[in-house]
Amino acid sequence: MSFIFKPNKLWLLLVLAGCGSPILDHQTSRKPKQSTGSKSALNIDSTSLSNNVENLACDHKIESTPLCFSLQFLERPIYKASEKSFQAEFRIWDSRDPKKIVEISELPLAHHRCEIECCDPPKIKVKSQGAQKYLLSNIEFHIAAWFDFLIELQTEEFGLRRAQIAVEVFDD
Amino acid sequence: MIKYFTFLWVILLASDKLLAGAACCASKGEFPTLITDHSQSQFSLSLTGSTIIGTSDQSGKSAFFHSEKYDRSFVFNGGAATKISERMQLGVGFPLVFKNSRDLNRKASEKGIGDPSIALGFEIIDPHYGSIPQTMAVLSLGIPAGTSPLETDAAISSVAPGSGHWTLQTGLISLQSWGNWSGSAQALAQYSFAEARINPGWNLAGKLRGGRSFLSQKLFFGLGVGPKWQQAQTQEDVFGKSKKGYRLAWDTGIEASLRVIRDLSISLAYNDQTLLGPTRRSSLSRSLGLSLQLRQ
Repeated sequence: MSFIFKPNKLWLLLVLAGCGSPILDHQTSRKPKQSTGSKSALNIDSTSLSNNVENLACDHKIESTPLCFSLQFLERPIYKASEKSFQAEFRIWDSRDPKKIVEISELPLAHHRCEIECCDPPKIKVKSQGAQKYLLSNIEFHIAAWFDFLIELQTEEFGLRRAQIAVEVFDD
Repeated sequence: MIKYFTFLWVILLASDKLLAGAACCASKGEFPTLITDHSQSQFSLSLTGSTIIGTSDQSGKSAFFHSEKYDRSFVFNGGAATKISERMQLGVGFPLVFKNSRDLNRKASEKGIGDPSIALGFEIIDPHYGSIPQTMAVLSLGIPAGTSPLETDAAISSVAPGSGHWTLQTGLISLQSWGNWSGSAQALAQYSFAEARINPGWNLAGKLRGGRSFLSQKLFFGLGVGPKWQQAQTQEDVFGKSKKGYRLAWDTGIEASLRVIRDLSISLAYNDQTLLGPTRRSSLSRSLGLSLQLRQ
């Protein structure tokens, strides 16, 4: 059946478009490409992450403390459902003296959630990688959207503190 | 609970009053078991298949799923209603739910009883008032009998057949006929009670329907449109308290209904939430439902 533009059909389309019809104005999410095992050019190589906190900019601060933190993914965070999980490196340092070790009494707890309701992601595993450096693993993304990360830290100096950061997860 | 439903079914089946069948008219939307004519009782069976096509976000931007992501459900619903007085009626609905969902290599499916409902209907204005539309008020209670998303062990929690919370719903529906043309308007308010960390709050919905009957009112075709709105929610978790915006989606439907014999009618209805906007923070679904109604 051919679709001929008659004034009444045009009017209908204009009405639908004007009121924000999803069918006329939407994107279709893309399937992620199958993993080939090799890292794409966009992926961040873990060896390129700075080993020196002095070189890190204090972009994220823990509220009411001089503590800075960073969260860097070892690979670009993309939507892959449970085809794979991601790892990220969490660092914490004192802006007053980046060389001073921030004493943390327990292993930090890490949580993530999606701003759009989606299935509950599994628990993040945290492993210490020496002073002020932690490896977060088992991070899964079930949708391409912004994810909030929250790391709870029991610091000797400031007590229980929370580091929160939003991470954008891409289609592929 | 099953004992009470069985008891009610037996009472309804024992009813031997055979009254004239109803004329085909605009459907009763969210209240399919409601008796709107002079029948004494009504039984209905329906099968509705629906699939979530995509979602819209806080800003109203819609994204449709790719082919390896879907959320499907099939709901088989049995309902019965009977008049307990001239103006008052009692109805029950009992759903069986089959759901399956896929997100790339994550797959989940579940089946089981959904959330049954029990409803009281009261005719405020009867159809003999002439130009004033027949108007009914409904109060219904949804019972969280089905496994909820928090209780399920499925990899994708949305396949749970139950909602996990009690719901109280109240609504008004008005029906009017003008010869072969008929229309209905309904307004619905539902309150879902908090359960664990789910605090759904108020849902409001409205719908306008209209259509025309053919073949001596044996066949009816109609169209319907209406919004569904859910209040903004406050979520509390390890991240603290956060306020989520309201949800909004628009139903657009087309329906056909045929009176097969005097007291038996069959209806087919298609509903689409991807046609009209604006939408906010909502899943967008399409559904097709087939239902049988027997009146006595």
